[in-house]
Amino acid sequence: MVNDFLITLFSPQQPRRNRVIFGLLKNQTTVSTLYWGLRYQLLDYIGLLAKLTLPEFEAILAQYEKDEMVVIDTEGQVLLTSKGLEVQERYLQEHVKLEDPHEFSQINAENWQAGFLLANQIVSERAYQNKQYYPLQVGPQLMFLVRRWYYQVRQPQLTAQWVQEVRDFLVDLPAMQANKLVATWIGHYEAGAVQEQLELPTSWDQFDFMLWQLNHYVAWSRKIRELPDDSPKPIRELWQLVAVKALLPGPVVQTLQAIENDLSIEQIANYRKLKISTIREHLLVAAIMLDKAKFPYERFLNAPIVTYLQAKLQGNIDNWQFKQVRQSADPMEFFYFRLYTILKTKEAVTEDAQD
Amino acid sequence: MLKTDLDAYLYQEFGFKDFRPGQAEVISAILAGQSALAVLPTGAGKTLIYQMLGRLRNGLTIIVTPLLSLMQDQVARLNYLGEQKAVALNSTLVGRDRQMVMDNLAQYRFLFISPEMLSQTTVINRLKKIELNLLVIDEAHTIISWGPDFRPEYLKLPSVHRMLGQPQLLLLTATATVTMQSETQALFTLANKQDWFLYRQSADRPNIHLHTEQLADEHDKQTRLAGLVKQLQGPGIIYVSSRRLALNLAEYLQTNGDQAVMAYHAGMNYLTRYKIQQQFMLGKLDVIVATSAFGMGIDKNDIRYVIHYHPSQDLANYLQEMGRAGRDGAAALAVTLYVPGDEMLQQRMIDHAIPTDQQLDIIYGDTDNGATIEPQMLRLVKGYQEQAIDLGTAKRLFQERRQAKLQAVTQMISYMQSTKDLRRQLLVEFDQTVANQADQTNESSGTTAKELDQFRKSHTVLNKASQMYTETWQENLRKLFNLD
Repeated sequence: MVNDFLITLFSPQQPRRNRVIFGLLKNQTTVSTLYWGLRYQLLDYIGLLAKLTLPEFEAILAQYEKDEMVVIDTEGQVLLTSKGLEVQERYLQEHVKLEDPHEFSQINAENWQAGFLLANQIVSERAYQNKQYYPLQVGPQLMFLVRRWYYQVRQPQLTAQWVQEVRDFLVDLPAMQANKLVATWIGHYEAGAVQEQLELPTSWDQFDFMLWQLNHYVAWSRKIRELPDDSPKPIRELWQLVAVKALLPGPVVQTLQAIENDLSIEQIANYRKLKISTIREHLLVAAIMLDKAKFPYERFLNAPIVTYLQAKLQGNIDNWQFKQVRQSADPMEFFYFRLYTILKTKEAVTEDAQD
Repeated sequence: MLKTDLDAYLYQEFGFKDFRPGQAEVISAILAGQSALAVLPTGAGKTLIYQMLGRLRNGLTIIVTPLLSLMQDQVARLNYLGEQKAVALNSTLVGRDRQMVMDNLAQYRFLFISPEMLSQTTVINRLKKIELNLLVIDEAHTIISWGPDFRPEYLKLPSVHRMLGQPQLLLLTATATVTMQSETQALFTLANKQDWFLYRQSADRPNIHLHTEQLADEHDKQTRLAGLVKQLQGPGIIYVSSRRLALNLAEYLQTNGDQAVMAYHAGMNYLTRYKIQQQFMLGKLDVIVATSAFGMGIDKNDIRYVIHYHPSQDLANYLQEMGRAGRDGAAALAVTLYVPGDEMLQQRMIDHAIPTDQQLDIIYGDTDNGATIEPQMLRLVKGYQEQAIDLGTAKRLFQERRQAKLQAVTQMISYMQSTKDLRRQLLVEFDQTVANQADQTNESSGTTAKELDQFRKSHTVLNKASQMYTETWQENLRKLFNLD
């Protein structure tokens, strides 16, 4: 259940704010949520449970607390107990995990899966020249995109091309996996199998089944991304339309480009008619989401600032507080502080990776 | 528009040679400028009425419907019938999806919407700006029987209708007693002294054989159910009162029989429900064990039996639910299984839904610490408070409501306990004359009734093994894409 999966998002050493975790899972993120998502190394899980409601989430945490798997302090910070750690480890053994969180975070995975299923249905019905069917209801925007895709690709070779792309993906999977995955597909006179109708581990719940399917589509996405773009590939075109998403929102990209063109924060705020605080937020979001090398930290964190912060801030980055370094009411101070914590986090991750 | 023109249009646009009873009459009345209340049995083709009106005239046709899941099915059905410009707007639509729909309302021909969304100011303001063809209220009887208990927003529909400039109204329902009918009409102010066109078809379903059974206890009931499912010609639906029971019963039938059986309930995600529904419609499942709300979207003409394992909340709902059987006109069977104590299920639901005097004291007094009152009940009462109803009046209204609901449950139980006079009992609420003239012969009672023989299996049934999907992906692709 979603219930059990949530235990995997907590740590026995690092207290994690429950509201941050909720915000990440639902993709309701502020700069602060994203920063702590970075600190918790959970940025890849953004949007994994978009439909989770706050009451549901809170009820699950309350149960964990009751079962002594976590302790929660007055600020909503959650720490795994030793019992909780056991449960977490057992869960990871017995249940399906998100296999490629990085690829998952690069795409709109839900759209990709739903869009594929609908497109597959359309191509299947077309292969039988049937126009009367109940299309999978995937939401108006996705429906619109898939229709647009269809009008672009529909010509006589569509079925053959589609089948070829599908085969290319499936041949590389273990046969049993491929069999079960295709059994879930919807098409002409084929409603697709539900969990009970496939020979899957009986210990799996609804969430496991969902994740098992998602893992396949995410893996397919990675394959498509890495393939050369030569012959007409309708699935790849669909993927480009519905799955691909920008790493950063448009306004953030604009701000970053302006900075790289040597404009100052004030200048950018002025010509974009935005608040200076908004521009600062854009920059923090960019720093959090981008690889360390891709953000111009040195533009803001000059040598004197770094020396000052380095002297005042040591030890666990989670415990660094702005008040330790604050000198005045200048809002740029918090900006420098936050940027510094982001930089140090990224450096630590790089070091870990190099070990 | 002349009838001959309508017939031609029907054939040209929809491929049907004839209208079903009531369709042409209601369409004509609306084209002539009236508002209409149509009481048509389930499966009588209500969708076609607003679909045709939506195509014949400009502007958006708004269809208010109570169930979120049903909305998706309704959009799918319009898609099936070739209509792309249909969309559903409800609380599950969020973010960019919602924005896209809101910004492009004028591009749609059909908008399915929940009463909650329709009562939002932002939505009303957008709708005021575009041309409206028709305001359809589907399952209009829910305004009366659901409104006060579950959906305060239904109480707002008459004022929403006014705010939208009083577009022509089409109220649709399969079951409305004569009182409900006049109550519903009275709620709305029609424009320009427009009058109502009333179409009422008998709620009777003459091709459905009515059958009741009274068992000693739960164990006997379960065994009997398994026996019926083994013997009866499917496909069939079994109605239960909760999703837990749907799952348990489905599992029980899977182990105690050889049919392809699945549970179907609100706890499943959309993709799962879509697949089960499609499997059932394609004839790949024999039996569905469902909670009542989820039978509504199933668009299947050849359901041969509906078994009520638990009571419906009242006879109107029972008629609606069992009415899913035999839409093809061929003989079908409606069975109720009763065990002493079954009435408690519905009574408990009433307690959950309708606040007592003490609960009203707590809510109005604002002394609730959050733990004692369920959110649904809280919302309901707040809805009443927003309509400026004071504590004393609220108490009276809810007491009356409780009495009415308990009375309705008693009638339902009475039916389930009866061994004769079934059809008359079922119909008397809706039309006394029809009830008294109803065919008394197409009914039976008791586990040994010979009348059930005609419903026995006549051809081989799908077996459970065929429920497992074991083909190779290569075979599946061949099937999916019509490959040699």
